Amino acid sequence: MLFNSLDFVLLLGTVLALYGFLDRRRQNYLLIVASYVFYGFWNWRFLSLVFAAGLVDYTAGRGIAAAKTPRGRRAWVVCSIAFNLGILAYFKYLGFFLESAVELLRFLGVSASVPVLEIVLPVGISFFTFQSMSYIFDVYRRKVPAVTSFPDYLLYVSFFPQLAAGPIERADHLLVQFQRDRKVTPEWFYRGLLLLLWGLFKKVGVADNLGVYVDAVYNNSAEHGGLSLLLATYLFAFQIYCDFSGYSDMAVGMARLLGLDMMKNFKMPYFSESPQEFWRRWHVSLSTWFRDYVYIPLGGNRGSALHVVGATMIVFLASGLWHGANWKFVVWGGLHGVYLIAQRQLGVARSPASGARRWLRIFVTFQLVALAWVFFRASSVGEALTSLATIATAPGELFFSREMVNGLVCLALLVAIEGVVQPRYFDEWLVERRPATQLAFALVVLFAIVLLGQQQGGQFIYFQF
Amino acid sequence: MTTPETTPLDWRRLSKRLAAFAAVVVTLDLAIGLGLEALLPHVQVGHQVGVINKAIDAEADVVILGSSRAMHSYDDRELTRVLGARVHNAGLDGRGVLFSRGLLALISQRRAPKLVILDVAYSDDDRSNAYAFAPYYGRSPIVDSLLTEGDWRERVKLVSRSFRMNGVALAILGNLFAEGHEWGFAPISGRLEPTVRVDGHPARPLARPKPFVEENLLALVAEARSRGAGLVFCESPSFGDPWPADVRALYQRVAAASGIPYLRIPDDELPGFGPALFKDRGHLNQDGAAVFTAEIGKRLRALPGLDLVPRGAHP
Repeated sequence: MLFNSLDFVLLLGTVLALYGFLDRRRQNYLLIVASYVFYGFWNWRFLSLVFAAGLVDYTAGRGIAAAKTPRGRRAWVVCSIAFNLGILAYFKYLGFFLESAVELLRFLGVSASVPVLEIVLPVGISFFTFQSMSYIFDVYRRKVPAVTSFPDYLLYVSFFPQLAAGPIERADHLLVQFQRDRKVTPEWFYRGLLLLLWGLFKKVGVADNLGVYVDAVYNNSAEHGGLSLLLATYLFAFQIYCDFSGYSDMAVGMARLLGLDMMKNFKMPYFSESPQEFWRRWHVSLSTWFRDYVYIPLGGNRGSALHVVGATMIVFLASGLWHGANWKFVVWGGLHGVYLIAQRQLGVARSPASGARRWLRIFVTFQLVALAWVFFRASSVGEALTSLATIATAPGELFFSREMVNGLVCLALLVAIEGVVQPRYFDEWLVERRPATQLAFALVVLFAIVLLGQQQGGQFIYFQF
Repeated sequence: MTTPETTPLDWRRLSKRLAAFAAVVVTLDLAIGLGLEALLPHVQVGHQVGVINKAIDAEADVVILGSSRAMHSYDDRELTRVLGARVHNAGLDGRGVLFSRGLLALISQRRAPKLVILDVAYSDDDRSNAYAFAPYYGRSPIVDSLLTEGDWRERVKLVSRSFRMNGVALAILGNLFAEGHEWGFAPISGRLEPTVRVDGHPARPLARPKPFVEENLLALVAEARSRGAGLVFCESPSFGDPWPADVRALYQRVAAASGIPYLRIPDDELPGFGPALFKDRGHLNQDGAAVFTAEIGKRLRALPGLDLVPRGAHP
């Protein structure tokens, strides 16, 4: 069930119609049922997995709180990590690890083969397992108390607006909201609607339209020249931004309709002046997760330069692997790690610039990010390298597709609006305008969706992660 | 200048604001949708709307339906001369039986053709291709059923007049003043390398027919017959034979069961058959289309029982 489907509108409408009449406890039950219906539309068999993730970490959290010794507390953490990483390893990485092992053995001259594994990847598995693990780490660090209500925790793991693709929320932000009464205010509700509309525009207006061109070029990259591949790479940069941030905006908007607050996952990342700033603005919930639970425990910025380089590379390689079981994602993550290390070593862009200097930095940062996207979008590292070689040496003819026009018009609208409102966010900026201005903006965005939106668009890119 | 709101938003004000927004949306939806609908018939060029409008306006006696293979193979101007009846090529890239069925329904609303030549498609179009007819929603029960397939979600979406113009609004405005020509045939240049062999394998495996293709093919046959139109299935040439056996078998089975002629020109009967006549393995180039048109014209004229004399030309 996609956010941009009428089935989902029906589900959300039903939830909203009932929500206001219920007390906190029943509201939570309603949201759990809605979340399971939402997830069950993809594959009802995996509902047991979502439930198990909730049950195991709820139990582990209670175990950590009740444990009398540090060793006992650690044992519960190990159990939780083993379970979460275990299901991730099985569903997401088993085939990849086995194939890589076989390749390595072949490289060493040993003949080996593995059976073809047909393991279906549960939607959102990387998101809900990471969110659940963050709770366990926080309970272990005594940052949050262990939750005593199983339904509250079950809802924290399965809350439908963010179940499939985040943001990866922390217990001290989202879980605590499920534990107390909440009130839907008109202001919050209104801003939720604005974010829903804005997210939908990003998804069907920009991402899905640009995706048609990107797919046409990248799915037949050998048949296209460098100019088409270059354009497809730039368009992919906007496609993935609008696809993922559009989903996040809709998730945050929906939470607001329910009187809940979720973190903003994207802060106009393509206006970043450096790779480091990019990662403070792109997929914020994941980058802060890796910062808090991997980078800092590894020593963070303390220690020798070599130690910091090592910790940075571990974080970015792991972040790449988190995105998918393929070496291309590892290379993508590794490239970003190298960018950050280089920026630190060279000491560039330490403080914000202004004027032409700022725009030059934004331009250079965007080029670096786009270069890394080639690996992310190509089907393999080899194909990415071939595409880069084609871009550099064989421009060829520029391929044109009709769907591009609608996508480019929507992209121009997006850039214009984000250019005007940055560094603030669309809804924050808009609510301070006159009502007529707000109405005009909402109408332009709505009719851009209706007239130019790609109605045959696929699911959100990040669902596969 | 902007004036930040100082009065807090209460439910009453929010309700009023949302009601005003809804009212403007409904009004604009009607205005934009009806405006574009009014402009729609004037568009004669462009990939989707242009092809459909030209096919409707042609009021042809013979209509050629199919995919890009049809579009690039049949010179309708030449066939008009050869057959002595107005022929229109309404083939379109990536389309198959489903699209042909909808297009025939729209064409027949104004004037049913006397003969429909259905160029046999390798695979077939996706159900989503029916969206090409969204601007024509409400004009034909067949088109409406292709668009909605009885799904309430599709019917709800198509209530919006503007949504019916989804994806084509810019094309309508952009092509409004562009001048096209009355024929549908689109010759293409380029040729296969002389060294390409006819028994070589196709570059990429072709899809088998989807289950709904047979349903739509049978429906197209029934609908053409109900309008008094004759039917011919015709395979435009390919270089080599990359057809999945079940595609051809399906068309041949339906042709045999319905008494429809199935025309296929063997390679050795097409004068000068070779790489020089093809743009790629699946598509004739301009030279190939000229040779093929001449040959298929002869075979069409030789078909027994076909009355291609234009309406009104009978004594």
